[in-house]
Amino acid sequence: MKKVLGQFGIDPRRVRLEFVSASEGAKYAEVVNEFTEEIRALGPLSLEHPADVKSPAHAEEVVNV
Amino acid sequence: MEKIMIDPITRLEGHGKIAIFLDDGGNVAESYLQIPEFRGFEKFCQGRPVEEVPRIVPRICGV
Amino acid sequence: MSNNDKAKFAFYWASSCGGCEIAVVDIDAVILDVAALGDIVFWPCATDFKYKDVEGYDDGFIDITFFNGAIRNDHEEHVAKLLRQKSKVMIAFGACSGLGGIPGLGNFYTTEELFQQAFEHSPSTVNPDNVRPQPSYDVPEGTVTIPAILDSVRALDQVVQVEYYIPGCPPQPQWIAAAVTAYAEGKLPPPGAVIAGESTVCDECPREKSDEKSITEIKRIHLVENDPEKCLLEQGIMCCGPATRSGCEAACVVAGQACRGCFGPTDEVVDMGAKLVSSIASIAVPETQEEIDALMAQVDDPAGYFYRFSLPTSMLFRSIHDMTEGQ
Repeated sequence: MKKVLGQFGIDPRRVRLEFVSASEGAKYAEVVNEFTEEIRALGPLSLEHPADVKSPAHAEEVVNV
Repeated sequence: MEKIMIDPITRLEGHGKIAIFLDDGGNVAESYLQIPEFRGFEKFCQGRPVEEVPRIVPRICGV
Repeated sequence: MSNNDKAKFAFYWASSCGGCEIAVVDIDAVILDVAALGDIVFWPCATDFKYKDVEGYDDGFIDITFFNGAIRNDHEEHVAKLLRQKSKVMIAFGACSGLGGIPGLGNFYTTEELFQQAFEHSPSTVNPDNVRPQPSYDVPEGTVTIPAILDSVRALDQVVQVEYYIPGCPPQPQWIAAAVTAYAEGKLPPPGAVIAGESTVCDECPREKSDEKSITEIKRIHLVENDPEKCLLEQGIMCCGPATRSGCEAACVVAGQACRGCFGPTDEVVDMGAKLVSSIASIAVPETQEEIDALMAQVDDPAGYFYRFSLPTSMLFRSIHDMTEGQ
């Protein structure tokens, strides 16, 4: 999964797989808090949406043929 | 200068249009064939496993 | 153009290869039913109607437009909108218009990266002045134009509303015939329907599946002799069958090649990549994180397998432009 996301240019640190049993409440809180901090440090992910698509700026840079 | 546009050119495989410019006498001064198609196979075949390329490039032209 | 009561059909290709046009004539004798049923009022590949003619039609004049090809440039976007306005029913015909298709692989890169390779770096390119395509160019006689490439490839339904989808690269004759017959009999499904199978390619694949954990390593198909009776995925060969809509009778797999998902995801699958990762995980022998990492390291280009035909309609749409992320 991390490898796939890497091909999309997404930092693999944004994904974390952890096994937490139902009895490990403290570990659950710890993992979530830790991961929240990590994501906060990485900042927002600027994903694009199909509606955002626009013509690029290359229209202006005319090159002599 | 009068300009005749043939858009799109038809009954062939592929996209294109032709601009024909006529001079004052109504004769063809110059004509331009414009090919508007670009997809970028040159780039997106790179980094793909070599055995997959024969499954990608047939889509350059499927006729 | 005729003024009779016959139905009006249009066919159009945007960013495509022309294979879908061949698929239309692949329907054999059913093409005669199409001809009996309606008149073609626009089909650049086969008839002489121009954009001017289409612009002159009343709104809703065309009964069905079969639109193939993805939206790669602003001209294709314009024609998609024009045909939408002139058509009662819009069918996304083929993998490119339905999912983004092979041109959609361009969404792994920026437009600049695509241009650089095509017009500068490719071994067969000689372009010392670094000339690039110009959407508008002044010649002594006037101005000539070509379309501007958009930042990203989009599927047809990311640009205009689409009623039906006939998937496949290329679409299979039986589903084209099914759509034509359904229209002729007034039995078209509710809008939004994908005119193809409802289960997965695996369900119609004749290869035997053991449903046991069996993947110990990932193999490349040309380096092994695969057992023609056994599931390719269970033999460790990447196959997109578990996430892909049925309707092709597992044509590639029957021919000895793994599925690459040209029919797109089934209704239950939200994202093909996510589904395929879980399919592989469920039959993989390794269990510890290290073993799984080692197994997946053998897959050279997972996103290229999982989203071969569907990158623009995947959950992520495209790679992010700022590639400093993830380094």
